[in-house]
Amino acid sequence: MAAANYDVVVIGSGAAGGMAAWNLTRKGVKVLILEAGDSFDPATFWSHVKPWEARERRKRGDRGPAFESMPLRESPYETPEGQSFLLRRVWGVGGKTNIWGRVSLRYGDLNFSEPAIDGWGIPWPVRYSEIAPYYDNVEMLIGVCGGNDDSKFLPGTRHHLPPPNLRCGEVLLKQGAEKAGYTVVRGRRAVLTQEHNGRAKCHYCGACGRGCDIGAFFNSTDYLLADAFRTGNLTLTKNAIVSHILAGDDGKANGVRYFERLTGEERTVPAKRVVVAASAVDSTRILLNSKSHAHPNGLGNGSDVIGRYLCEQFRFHVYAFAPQLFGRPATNDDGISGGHIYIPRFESPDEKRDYLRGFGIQLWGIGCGTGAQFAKHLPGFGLDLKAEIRRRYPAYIQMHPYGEVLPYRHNRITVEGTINDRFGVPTIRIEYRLGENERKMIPRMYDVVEEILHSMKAEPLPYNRGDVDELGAAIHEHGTCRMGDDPKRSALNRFMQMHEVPNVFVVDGSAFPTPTEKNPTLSILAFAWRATDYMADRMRSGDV
Amino acid sequence: MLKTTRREALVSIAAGLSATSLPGQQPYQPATFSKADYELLGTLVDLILPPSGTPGARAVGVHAMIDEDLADNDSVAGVLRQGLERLRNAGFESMATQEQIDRLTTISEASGEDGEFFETLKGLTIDSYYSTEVGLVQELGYQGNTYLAEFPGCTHEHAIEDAD
Repeated sequence: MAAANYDVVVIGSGAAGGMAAWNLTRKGVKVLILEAGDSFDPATFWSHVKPWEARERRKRGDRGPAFESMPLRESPYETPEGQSFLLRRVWGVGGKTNIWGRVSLRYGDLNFSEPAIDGWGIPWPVRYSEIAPYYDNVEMLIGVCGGNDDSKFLPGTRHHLPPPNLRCGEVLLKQGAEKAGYTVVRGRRAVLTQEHNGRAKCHYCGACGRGCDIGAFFNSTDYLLADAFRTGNLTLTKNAIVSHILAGDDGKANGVRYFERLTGEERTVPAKRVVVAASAVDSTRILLNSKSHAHPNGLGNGSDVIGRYLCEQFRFHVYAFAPQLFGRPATNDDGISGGHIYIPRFESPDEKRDYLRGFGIQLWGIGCGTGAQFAKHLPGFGLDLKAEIRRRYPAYIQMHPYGEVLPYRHNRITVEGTINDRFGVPTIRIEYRLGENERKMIPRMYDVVEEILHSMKAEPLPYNRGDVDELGAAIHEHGTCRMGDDPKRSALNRFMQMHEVPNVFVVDGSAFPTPTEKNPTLSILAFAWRATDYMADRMRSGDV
Repeated sequence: MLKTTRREALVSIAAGLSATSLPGQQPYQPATFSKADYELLGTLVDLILPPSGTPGARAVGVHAMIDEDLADNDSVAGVLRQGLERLRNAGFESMATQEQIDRLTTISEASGEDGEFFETLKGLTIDSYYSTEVGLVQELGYQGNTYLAEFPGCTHEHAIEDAD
């Protein structure tokens, strides 16, 4: 194989890959990123397309960027009959950070210590005190708005930007939840409520989910890759769908194979070191497909843990009205889009209850939105219905609890017996179902939601107690290449370096042994930063 | 059959609505539904969301939007076609408005295929109407997706007790 031109090959350009490239290039390391998709052009984002303009645009053939459709075409996935899993991926520069939910919650020692205490899964190899400085670094770098709260359930920080004001529905929800005894905090979101590091602040157009045309929320492209390019040390190859990491007989990785998406040509790039950051599921696909003489069960998978212990969160949604707002004039409730408040987890491991871990409650979609879908649940038709819709429109509220799913051995990603993609590479199969612990948590989640709604005198729309959203819908996949101190039960060490392949690091969500009840991107950034600090140190000392 | 008033027509034209016919343009030509079905759809969507202080669903072209949106959705279009045919067979088109409302009330409370038809049509009508500038801005007062220097948040005082 030809000599490597790069010190490190990074697979993926989202939060994890972007952070790896940013941190390594600023230390003088030559990095090649292989990104499966193309760039997204902010000039084509639909940030400022009014709801009523969308139809005309679509008729003209303008659909805005297709953030999510390509992975399903290029690399579909299968699930067993009756066990659906919603896998949402963005292939393209910046990955899911182009359209992510921006919720930025620190994990705490409660999260990190719990597996060791309750015995489910493996202990996290890192404690809060070790990762806290990296949370500081990430928050200062990307800008996170939020309050000054601090608890064992949600550690505080000095680095928050000012939080946005609350919408009327949030004022009432907060009152109701507090009256019922629950703590409500300001949402913590990676949205710039003031200029930060020279980046423009949010203008509250409320369309973050369609991409931000001015980059006022953290995304890998604007916040990480742009700096990395400026160092002169970054090369980015787009439309490169990685299929395998190649390994020599010494077991070390020595190259990366990919398929040129536009021409279909197979290419191999030599690699001295590889950082895998293709998102939990696609990283797992690549590792499991990377079988070789030295790694017959997939790269670095002598422990047979890679692909197993897939875990994330399950969630459900309850919709209601705050009657205090019936008939009020409509207000602009866009804000920073999504919740300005959050109800953190409130249950300790030592509390007497019949399930482990816990849940937090997210509160988005509150107030005057871009439609009136709730109206389908109101009875009747005609003038009365139309008046009732108008009366209720400003009063709409929503609650979205997220519960932690334990890591189960049988919840797994496999590549055996699946169909091949168009390049002849096996695609994945996802087997995922909730267990007893989650089923016991669900009634308690509904109880809390009902307590709060009752406390604020809200009128819920009909719901079925016990229903949960399609699994996968939280888009927080973890666990399939977990880190730990025991090489028999984990694939990565505490610095996300493969136990069995020292020149490969896996720095995305797949490395997390538990999902916690929280959104992971802030933690992925912090851990990827820490891992690549270690990696660069080891490179300097000649160990990696 | 209800007729679009001149005022509604002017309001909808002024709002620059795409799906209705504009001056100098041909009226919308349905592609998914027959002419007769399309006309009946117009009557029905206007009964579901009628003109009040703001234009009703027909004036903003909700029936045309439904026709467009169901071009590739045979199963939902089929539910509507069959429901429309049942109404037609029951003489719905020649009924007086109040009689039509009574008939639709019966259907709206029915289970089975009539209930499914009504739920489907009502859902499509709501989605389409409140995605238009008339539905969203004129009727509901939506002010979003604009540039703000600061986000004011809730500017009036609220307490839970306000519900009492």
